Amino acid sequence: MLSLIIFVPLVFALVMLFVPKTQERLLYWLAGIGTLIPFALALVLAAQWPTAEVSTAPYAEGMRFVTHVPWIEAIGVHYTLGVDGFGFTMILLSTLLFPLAVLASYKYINDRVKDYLILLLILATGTNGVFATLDFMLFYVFWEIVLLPMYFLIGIWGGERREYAAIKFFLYTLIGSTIMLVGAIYLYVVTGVGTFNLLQMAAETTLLPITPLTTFAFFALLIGFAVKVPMFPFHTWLPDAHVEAPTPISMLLAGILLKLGSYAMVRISHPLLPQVAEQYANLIFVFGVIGILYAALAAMAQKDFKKQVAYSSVNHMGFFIMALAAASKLAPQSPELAQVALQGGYFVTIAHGLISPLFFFAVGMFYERTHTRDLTKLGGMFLTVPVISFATAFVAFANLGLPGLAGFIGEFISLTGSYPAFGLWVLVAGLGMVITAAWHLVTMRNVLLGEAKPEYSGLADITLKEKIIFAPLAVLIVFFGVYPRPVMEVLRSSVEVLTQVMGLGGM
Amino acid sequence: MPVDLNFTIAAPLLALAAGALLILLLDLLFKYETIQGPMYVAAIGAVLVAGWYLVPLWQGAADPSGFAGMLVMDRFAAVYGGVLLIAALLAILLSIGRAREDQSGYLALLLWAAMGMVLLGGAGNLMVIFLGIELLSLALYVMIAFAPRRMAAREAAFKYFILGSVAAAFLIFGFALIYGATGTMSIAGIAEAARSFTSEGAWAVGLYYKVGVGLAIVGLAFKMALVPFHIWAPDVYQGAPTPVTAYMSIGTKAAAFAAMARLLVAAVPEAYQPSFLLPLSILAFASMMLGASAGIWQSDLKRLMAYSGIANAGYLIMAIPGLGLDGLSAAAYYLGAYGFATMGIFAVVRILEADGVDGSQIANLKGLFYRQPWVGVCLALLFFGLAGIPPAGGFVGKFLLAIAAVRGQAWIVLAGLILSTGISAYVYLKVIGTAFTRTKEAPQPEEGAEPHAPTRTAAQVVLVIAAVGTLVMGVLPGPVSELVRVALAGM
Repeated sequence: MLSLIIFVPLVFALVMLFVPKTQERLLYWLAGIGTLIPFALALVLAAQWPTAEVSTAPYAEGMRFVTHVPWIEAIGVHYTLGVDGFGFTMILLSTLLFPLAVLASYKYINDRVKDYLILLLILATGTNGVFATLDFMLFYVFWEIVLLPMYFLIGIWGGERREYAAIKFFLYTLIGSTIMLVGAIYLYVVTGVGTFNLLQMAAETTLLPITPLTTFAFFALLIGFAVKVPMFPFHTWLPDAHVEAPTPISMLLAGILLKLGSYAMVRISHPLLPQVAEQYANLIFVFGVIGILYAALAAMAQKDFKKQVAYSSVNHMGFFIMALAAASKLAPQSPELAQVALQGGYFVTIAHGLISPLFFFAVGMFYERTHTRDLTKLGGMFLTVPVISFATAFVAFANLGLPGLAGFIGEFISLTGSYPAFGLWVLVAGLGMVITAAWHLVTMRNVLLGEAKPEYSGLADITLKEKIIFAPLAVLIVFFGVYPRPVMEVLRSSVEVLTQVMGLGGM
Repeated sequence: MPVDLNFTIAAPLLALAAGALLILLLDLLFKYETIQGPMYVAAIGAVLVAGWYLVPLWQGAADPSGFAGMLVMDRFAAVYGGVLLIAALLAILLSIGRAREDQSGYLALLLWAAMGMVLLGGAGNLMVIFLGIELLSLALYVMIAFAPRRMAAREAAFKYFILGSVAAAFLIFGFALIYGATGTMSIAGIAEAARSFTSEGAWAVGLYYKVGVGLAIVGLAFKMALVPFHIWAPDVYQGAPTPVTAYMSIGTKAAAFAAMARLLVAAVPEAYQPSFLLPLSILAFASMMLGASAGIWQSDLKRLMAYSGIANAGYLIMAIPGLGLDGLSAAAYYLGAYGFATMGIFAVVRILEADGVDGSQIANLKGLFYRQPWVGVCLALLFFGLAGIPPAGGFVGKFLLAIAAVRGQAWIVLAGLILSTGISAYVYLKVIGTAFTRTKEAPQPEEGAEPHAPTRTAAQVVLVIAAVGTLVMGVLPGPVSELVRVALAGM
């Protein structure tokens, strides 16, 4: 089943190669179906989730829906798929966002539609693959496959400085992932397990003593992932990439691609070397908090609406980094407290995965109508396009962490969960939240309130397409804001396992 | 001494030599206009027959040693021979449709060069290494100049000849010192002697020996274009006709690397390894960095590929630390992937040349994707392969090489790998970006050049083979790497 989720988009991409490029409607239908099938399959798996068999094999302990086939036997690489709570929530999120992105592209991307959609489908294969795989080499392959379509999607369909942004994005990630590759290979060699299976490697690597080389390996992995998250100070590619990318791609970039990094941390760097993670928890915390504060201030200073939202992504992912650091610090003494922090941190990523695509979409709705993202030029939108403005206000409140919406839950739990580890220092992160709230209000005042500007009179309000994209995400944001338990339930066992591993590593 | 003829192991070499003679004979017997096609068929046939004779050697059926230990066509030689023959085959295909000139001489030289390369992989004696180097070099000196109207080609050939002779002198001098220290030319004998040195006993002999091995490595490093012995590469790559550039970029590199691996495995005992590893690592690091960063300023695709080749020679050195089985099989795998990628890229150059356009100008690639989508996509795939990004084969090769380097704790080389991967990816992305840049203007053909359909078809065939080969090596590396590994297990 997981294989289908991964490869159905690729198969559709291959089929679409042979569709003439003038048949744009047909191409959109194919792309839509090619991304909806994985979503439907993911929902089927979600229904089976409580009763699904939990694997006990050493290569996939605690995982569900496992596949295990040899791939490169000479160096012990297998095609191993399987998901736990961390992976499965991400697969659901990813398969949900891709059909929405295809829909968002309809009538928005008018140029070389065929190539665009094919790349989008390849991207879907890459991201779903990353979330489902349990073998490092396979993980790396999917990780890099994500890069290729993204490079072209930004580089061909992007804004004015698209080539610069695309190359910057590509190089950042590629250098990061090469470092990570060396780190992982070091662990493979030093443990002598003869396999790249993440769980089997973890069984050995957690026992390694903390030496300069294991420290190097940990940070090599962490840097590879931190670039994607993006964690301060590796975030500078993100504002450029977001600003230049077309709206649907920004939605995916914020919603899914950043989660590749956070997911990889809970799947690879922290389970493999929890002892090092614990030792350097304070350092990682500092970077997380600087990220929160710095991104909040940077967002406040932006004149470009989209760049503002991009910086808010750095800000939110900082909460995840902070909570993860707290969890690895707390785990040896008190697994229960660590679980709270980790659950909160991971919930932040899920909530961000729902909110930020919607926010980028809202920015896109304005941009499509007014052809500007300049905050000084927008204004009085409540009087010109009331429904869109209401939607934007809703998502802005979700993004600033209004209680009752999904964003609040994650950040609140992260903060309370991190307090036992770092004491009052978490207030710095709290300060970041306040600044974030402040600039959201300022931006909303600028864009939405005020006198209606004459040059924008007569703009069309929200269309059916936009409503269809808006509705599911908005419903989920409210639902998980009020009732986060289903997500927490799915995450619980994975969180327990990870905190247990981190606890053992720290002793 | 009894005559030790072993034609089973010499068969691949003889097939190539016979093919070359057959082509010359055809030229002599028939009218030039009627015989061009059959000459190409004969050349391709010779390569295929040579490959056919390699198969039993690969399987390890025959006794690999013959001619009193001069020739050791073991599985190692068979694997590298396989890579080299594929390169030769693609180079012949790329050559189809060359201008009206001496086809027979060209093809014969190409086969002789291939013979020299395969011989290097199977050398059991220092003399044979030298013979192989000279055979391939002499053939290439002439082939590089095989572009009657271009002065650049003659200049390149002359440069290569002068510098190549100096390198040969280094090689010979190194061999002489090794002989002086060990009293034998046979590689097996050297291995035995090297392991009998002790650090106290034969200090003076050990010094001569070390210097000798060092000089021999310099000679081979020249052929591989390792920094600082790379000066010739950009000029020669740029000046030579495209098929020749394609051929030598993979052929000389693979052959010289095979000889170096053979020499080092035998000549460097475990105790000496660190002292040889350090200078080699520094060379590799310098090659990666220079090769990657010099590419940034190139406007000529062939020069760019020369610098990329320099960087890739550095990557190959990652296989040397530890001199183990996995390193050498990783290098063979990487050479295969690198060979497909470079051949494919030169095929794209050739496709442009078939329309009379100077394909080596990167500016002429502008808008390629919009004129010929498939060629553009293949070009991107091949460059991604060079950058080591899945799903192209270069990725698996780099992965395997990195494992070998970590095993051998070659941190300098690994640092080079990380840094240069980023830089060279930038270089390749710029080329890809050019191919995907929108433009209304098609590049202008050069004066007097006319479109030539057979050239285009042949180049397209090479491009397809290269792209498919790259993909297979990237997506299904299991079978290939297993074959290579099994083949090398006999070393």
